[in-house]
Amino acid sequence: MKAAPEEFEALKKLLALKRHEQPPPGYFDHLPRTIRARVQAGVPETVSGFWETLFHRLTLRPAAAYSAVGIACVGLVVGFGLFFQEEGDPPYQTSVETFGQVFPEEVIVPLGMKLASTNVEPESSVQPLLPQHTPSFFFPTQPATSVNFSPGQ
Amino acid sequence: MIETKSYHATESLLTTAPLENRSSNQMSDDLALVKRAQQEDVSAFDELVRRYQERIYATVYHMTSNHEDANDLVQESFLKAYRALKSFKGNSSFYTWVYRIAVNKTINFLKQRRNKFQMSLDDLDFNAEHDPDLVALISDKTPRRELNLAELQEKLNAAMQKLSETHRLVVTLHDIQGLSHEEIGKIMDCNVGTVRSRLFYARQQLQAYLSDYLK
Repeated sequence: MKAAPEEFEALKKLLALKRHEQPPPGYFDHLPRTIRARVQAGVPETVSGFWETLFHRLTLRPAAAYSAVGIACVGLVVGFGLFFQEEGDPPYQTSVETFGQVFPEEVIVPLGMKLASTNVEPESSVQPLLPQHTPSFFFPTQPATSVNFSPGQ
Repeated sequence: MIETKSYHATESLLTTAPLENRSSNQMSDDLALVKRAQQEDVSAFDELVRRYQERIYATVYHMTSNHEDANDLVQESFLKAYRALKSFKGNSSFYTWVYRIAVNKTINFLKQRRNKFQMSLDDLDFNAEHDPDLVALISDKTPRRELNLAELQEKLNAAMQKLSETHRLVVTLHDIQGLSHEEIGKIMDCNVGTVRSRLFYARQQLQAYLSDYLK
């Protein structure tokens, strides 16, 4: 890291040019007045709030901004999907009340799915827990219609 | 090891007088103003702003190479200083304290701005054309004869912007503003050895970037 004193002499002379850079005339007369006015007005700092900071950072990082928008869109779609799917299902409480005694140890998870925690087989007379027709936001099911392919029609 | 600053002071407004050269009267005067400002005397704070605005502006401007950014940052720094004034205990001088606020604000700003850099340079003053060192740099006898001062200024600022924030800061404070290694250590919260080392590497990089203009 040793350097001869004259090693950077030319550079120092060149850097001296920066000392001649001056702001517009009268700038230093206006600046204290502006600061005083802001102090008296109690103006908040330019970038202070969480949202402003977040926006500032996202503006500076387009990749992060696109990712955030993508995540938000996916979140919205999934959210809407779940919302509509639950609306189409029979009420959750009803299925518990109806079948709770038949499968006392069953574990019921959201969306009407059930997981049996024991090896107890359901009695054959019991109807399946899941409804026959579960409307789905993503894969809407149509009621089956009878089709006759017999010739002559 | 590089010796302390060997250049002479210029008459430029943007050159600072070293801290140790300022009278103790002025420093105690600063403290009196700070005490008044702590009791919400805005005119006392106004006086402190007038005292240090040029030095703070110069540092921030040389760091950003952009007048508008420097203007915003200087205002924000003084506002922050005013709000934080009650926490100022007088362990360091007001000058060092407000400098530190401005430097931290500037470095944070530069880290965020990294991809959106645009120069907005201040004009050169009249004295620049008569500075013998600068005249030599653009004289007909040098390979840079095709450059005028404004072009040279642009190249120099572009090279400065290639340095890291800490390297740029140490060059600004030492080689442009004339602060001592000790003062820079206080402002940057590091020891003198670190300041010297950063200054050496910063100069080396600058020399490489500007080699065409330093032959």
